[in-house]
Amino acid sequence: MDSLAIRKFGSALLLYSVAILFTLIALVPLAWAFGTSLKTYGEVFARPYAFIPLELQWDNYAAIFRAVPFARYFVNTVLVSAFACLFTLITSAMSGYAFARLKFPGRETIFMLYLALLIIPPQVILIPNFIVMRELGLLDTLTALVLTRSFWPLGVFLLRQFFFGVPRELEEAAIMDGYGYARRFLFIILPLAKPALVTLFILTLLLVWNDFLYPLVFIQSDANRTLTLGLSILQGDLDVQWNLVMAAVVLAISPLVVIYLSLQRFFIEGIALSGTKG
Amino acid sequence: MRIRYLLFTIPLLVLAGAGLLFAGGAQEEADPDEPVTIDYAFWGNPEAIGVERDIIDAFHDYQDEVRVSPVVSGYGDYHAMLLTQLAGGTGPDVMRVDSYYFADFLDLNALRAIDDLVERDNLDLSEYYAAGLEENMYEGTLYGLPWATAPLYMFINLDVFEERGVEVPDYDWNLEDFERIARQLSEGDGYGFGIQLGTVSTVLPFIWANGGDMFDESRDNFTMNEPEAVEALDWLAGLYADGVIPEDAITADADALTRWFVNGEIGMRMGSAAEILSTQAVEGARFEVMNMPTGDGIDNTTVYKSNIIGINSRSDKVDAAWEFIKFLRGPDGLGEELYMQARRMAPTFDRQELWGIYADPDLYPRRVEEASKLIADRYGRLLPLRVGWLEVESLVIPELQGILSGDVSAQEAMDGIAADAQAVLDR
Amino acid sequence: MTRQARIEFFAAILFLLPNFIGFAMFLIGPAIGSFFIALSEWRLLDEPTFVGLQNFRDLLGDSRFWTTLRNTAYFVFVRVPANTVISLLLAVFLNQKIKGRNVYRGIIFLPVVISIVAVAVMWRPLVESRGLLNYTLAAVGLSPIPWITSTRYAMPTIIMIAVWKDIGYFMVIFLAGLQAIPSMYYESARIDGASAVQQFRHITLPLVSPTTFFVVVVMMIFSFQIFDLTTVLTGGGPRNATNTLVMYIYQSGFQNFRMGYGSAIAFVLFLIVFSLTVVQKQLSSRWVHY
Repeated sequence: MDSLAIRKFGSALLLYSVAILFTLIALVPLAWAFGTSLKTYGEVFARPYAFIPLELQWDNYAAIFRAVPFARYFVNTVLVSAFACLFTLITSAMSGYAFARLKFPGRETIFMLYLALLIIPPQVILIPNFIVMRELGLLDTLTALVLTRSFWPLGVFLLRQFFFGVPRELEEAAIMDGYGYARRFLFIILPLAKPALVTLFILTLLLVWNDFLYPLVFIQSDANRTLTLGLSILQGDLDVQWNLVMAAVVLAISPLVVIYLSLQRFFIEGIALSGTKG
Repeated sequence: MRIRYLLFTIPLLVLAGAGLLFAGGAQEEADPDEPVTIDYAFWGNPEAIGVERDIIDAFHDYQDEVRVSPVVSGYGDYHAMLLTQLAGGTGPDVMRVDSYYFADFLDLNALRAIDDLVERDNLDLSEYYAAGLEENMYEGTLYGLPWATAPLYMFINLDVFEERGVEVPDYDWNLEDFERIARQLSEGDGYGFGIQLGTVSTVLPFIWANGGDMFDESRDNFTMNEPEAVEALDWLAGLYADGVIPEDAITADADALTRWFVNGEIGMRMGSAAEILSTQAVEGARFEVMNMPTGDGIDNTTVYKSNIIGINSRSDKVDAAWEFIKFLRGPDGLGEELYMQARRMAPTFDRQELWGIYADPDLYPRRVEEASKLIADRYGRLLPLRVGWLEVESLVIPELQGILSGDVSAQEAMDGIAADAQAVLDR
Repeated sequence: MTRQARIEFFAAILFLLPNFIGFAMFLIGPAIGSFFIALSEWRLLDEPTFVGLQNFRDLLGDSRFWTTLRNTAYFVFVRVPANTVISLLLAVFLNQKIKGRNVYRGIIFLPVVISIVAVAVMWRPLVESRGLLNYTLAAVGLSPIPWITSTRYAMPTIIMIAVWKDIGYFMVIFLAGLQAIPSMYYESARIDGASAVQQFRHITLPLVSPTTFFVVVVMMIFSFQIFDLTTVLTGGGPRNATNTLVMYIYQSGFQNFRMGYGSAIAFVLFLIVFSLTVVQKQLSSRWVHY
């Protein structure tokens, strides 16, 4: 009994110390960044290592809204992200299902082609992409940003991997009930893939939210600018006001943090579901 | 089975719908009564952009024929954005181009010559500081009007100098004076001189003072492997090895220099007009600016640099663009005065009232006017910019890092890249 | 083809179509375009001239290409294993029922969402020679490390920061993968007296392997594209020690005005990463359990 208690205590100790260690490692630079966002411009240089400013400059956050139309950038980013995530989820789920569950000639070859698309560095296809958008008449529109980010090979790959894990028996039972491909996909596979869909949503959101290169070249007018472009402008000259940049970073990422935290419960729901299968 | 069709049509419909929702900006019809709208591209942070907006507003008040629509990004990504747009067949009508890129842009006919426009409108160019105009010329032709003609000053931290009992040098100081002062300043815990190796401009003044240069007179031959340049680089490496220059100088950025400077870790640094602003932001910072150390019979060792505001050679709104450029940068335009009020850069024209607005005698650096004028007249020197400048620079900078850290001797390093650099120049 | 197979083939086409249209327009088309650019000399503002394989021949003799390739490979082959192991272990740990689990998960995910420029700005004062890390080392009696000023330590420092930033990214993917493992496997293993380590080796590792395969392949592909972090933190220095292939591509195109050459480098990079991906896929049948 005693040795069991010690072992339990030991593993709990290990668990907690690892968790707390990595939490601290993640937190320390971020705490410094948050502290910097509350410093004066001068204090950024004068007391670079201080975590806590001499005087909390909450006005920095208001100053961003005075410096750039931050609210407009925010709305644009939300719009682009929402549509791009929606389309990525729909198109990736469909392709992922085809690759994981349907048999068709050339399946593995096409899949490798899709993976290959993930390998292309965006810097290289920037100009060809720009020309495509010009021909479509979509330069300086949010649609251009949505379209370039609505099709992501990684999404196909991710969902394919997860759909492999869904027990075939469930689908076979559905075939008995006369379900076609569409209904099996919608009512059997998708509900079971919730953790994977949530994961893909988070990853896509991150990609689109922090997207920089495409907005940089596609967008011209202030009304269509996104948050990352706003951040770039805040660092636009040799005299960079890092306190404002950090405040803008904090503002820009907080929605992502809130979304991530509120979606965490889906990972737990996943456990309950997989417990029922045999 | 209906559901199958729904499944495939819905995404396509949503896609199409979203396209319609966002698609806008339909082509404007040309109407002779309507004002012409031109795109004006520049870089900047919110403050700098604010100045540009003020000027654009003033321009709109001043006349009714031309409207200006700004195209902005941060400096770091600006030229990539511009190049993508130009390569993609579009691009702004009026654009600011950093002089580093100027020769390449001109070699590719990206900017329209403005000699004829200057002549037509009898624009008086004599008031511009000569260096600024020169940097807007390519093979004898003028392609734009100068923006932000300014030196890379030597910054002097007065507190550090006083604390170490070192006297602030005169304008005619030379390399030996510099070394003596830097070594005195670095006694004890601090360093004498902060440098960062992000551009060649930070080491060229020392090479110039020693009689060397990046290229020969024709700018067709790479000469950084010749004795004058090599000696200057080895000398800098010696200062680094002796702890006169901070260890982190090798990969430091401009912000790091400002941080060290205002905290008294370094007594001297090179800095631009924008860095005067960030240094002034630190409460109680006492500093001066001056020229770089001179050499034997060589006074002009301070980098003096300008940028170009020009017209896209493919623009079909040349007259409108020219009207705006005259307002923005011309001797009779309101632009310069508005720039001066923002205090972001020194005057481009030799005109006392502009200096009166720019230089505040109660604010450090108190000698900015005196020093700037001396540099314009006597101590300033243009970079030997040319086609392929950035590519040669990208070969040199890594070697400078190696030389400074003592990994490689200057001769070996420069000989190692000489052939590659020369190949770029010959291309 | 049987009737059933034909129906399935038709269904597959429909399922693939929406994605394929998008890929064709925004990835495949531009990629073909840039392949033709790779066969040309193009200074961006003039007309491209066809030069055949000249750019590829130039590559072979370009020492900077080989340096950046070597640096990139160094980054990939150290970063991918390190990051995979840490993210997997952390996911397993944070999948246990411990107090405040969501708080840990949330905070460890934070560095993922922050922009890379902010990451560079917050790390720079930490890794300077008189920065916080060396201060900490001195406090425990260790000698300082030239984190980003020596050619030897610069890349390891970049790797450390890249791992720090992306631990949470891959941890989340692993967490999602772990949810798919039925808990009854662990229950019966415990009844049989299996230790935690044994459970990890014999249940978790094999059953999470499809996710591991995904993580390794994706992380490798992303890592070969390392660009932002090195650009803002070291600018490729010191002495090109952290200069990477994509940095060189970008520089060739947008600073050296040699888009054809840049595209040629990109094509070689593509071939390298693609063959590594194919190899991984072939090897995967030995260790990935579907």
